[in-house]
Amino acid sequence: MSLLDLPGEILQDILLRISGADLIPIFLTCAKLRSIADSQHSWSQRCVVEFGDDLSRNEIFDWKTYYQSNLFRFTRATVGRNIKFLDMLTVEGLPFPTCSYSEAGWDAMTTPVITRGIHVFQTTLLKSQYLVCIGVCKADRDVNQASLGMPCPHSWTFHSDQEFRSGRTGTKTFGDTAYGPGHTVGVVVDMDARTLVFTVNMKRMPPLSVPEMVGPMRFFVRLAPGTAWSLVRHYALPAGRVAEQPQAAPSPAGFRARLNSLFASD
Amino acid sequence: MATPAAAAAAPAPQLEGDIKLVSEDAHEFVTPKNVAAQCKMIKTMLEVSEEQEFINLPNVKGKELEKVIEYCRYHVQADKPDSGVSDNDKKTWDENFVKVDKETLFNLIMAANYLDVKSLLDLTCATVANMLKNKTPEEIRREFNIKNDLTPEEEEEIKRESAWLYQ
Repeated sequence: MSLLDLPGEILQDILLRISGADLIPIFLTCAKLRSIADSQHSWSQRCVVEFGDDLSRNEIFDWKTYYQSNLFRFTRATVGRNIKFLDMLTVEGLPFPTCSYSEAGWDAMTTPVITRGIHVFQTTLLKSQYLVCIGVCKADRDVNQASLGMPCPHSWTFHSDQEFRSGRTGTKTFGDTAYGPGHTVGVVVDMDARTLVFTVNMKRMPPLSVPEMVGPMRFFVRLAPGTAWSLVRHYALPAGRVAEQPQAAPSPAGFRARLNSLFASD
Repeated sequence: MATPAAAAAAPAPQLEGDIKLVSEDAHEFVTPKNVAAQCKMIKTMLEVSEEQEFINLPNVKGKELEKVIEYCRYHVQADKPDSGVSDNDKKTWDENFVKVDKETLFNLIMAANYLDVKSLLDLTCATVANMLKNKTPEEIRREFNIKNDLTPEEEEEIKRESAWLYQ
């Protein structure tokens, strides 16, 4: 009995517990492990990257290639960019990115309309076990519809159970960014059992060549049915303010401290 | 977060007496039913027929079955509210429990999967995951005796795409 003799679902279970840069060398080991990584529709891949303090410097990877859930396209896009892998979450069984949560009676909350700048939201969920899908859509879209379609290409799903599966505990900071055709939306979510703090960085507005992406946007969070929530804070910063501040060593702790300072100054 | 130990703390079924578990290689283990029932598969079989005196487990060898029983026996005792065993103690015990050679570890994974002992499956899979971390592809191949079956073209592509890893 050797590692590769283990059934595929067990190998996948093992790989689900490995995150970030640790995962990538494993995929480069042999064809079998690579094929597990390449199973595009059996699991979605989520990259968690370290933004550092400069939230405007978040052109991390090509979202179009991320759509393909293909790790190798993903890594190619990161080459030469000033980022560091922090973590990778995987979500089993979700046909990313076309999940239709509202068909299952999902609740949704939306934030106020956001335009340029950095927006920090804090929301409290009154249920510790939840599945949330967060994303950005055009302000006039109904986030309760079954499928948001193209105006909402940027959504991220995670489950508190993943924290367990990947062996992590406590508050987690993770970030994701969308780098679609002509626009950048950076999102950082700081999650513990019941609190979500998410930062949206609308770095630049979409160009006219992508009409469905033009105009004010809205950040949305879809929640498990029956999950009570409250939007505690919305703090907006003008674009560029963060970038003017001194660069600190990027770290989750640093980012947390930064979020705390944002709230403190509110 | 639920620890494997905590996950094993599911209420033990009210089963009395012993059951004989027979491994693939004909080793017999007389085990308290409440210990054996930590294996969901066995629990289901006991619920179907409490009167049976033995259960054949054709997919588990004696060596691994003994380890699974040891794991279940420990957690049945340690997870009792009045056991006085701390979570740290359980964690340490679990860590020592999986200090086995790789073949045994893989067989334990298979046994935990077959017998449906989720907490043990979590523990063993996490152990393998930890063994895979912080290694280069070559180190992983060497550690797990994996043959590099990637074609030269694939290797070239990988080298190109993963260059940033080695900068």
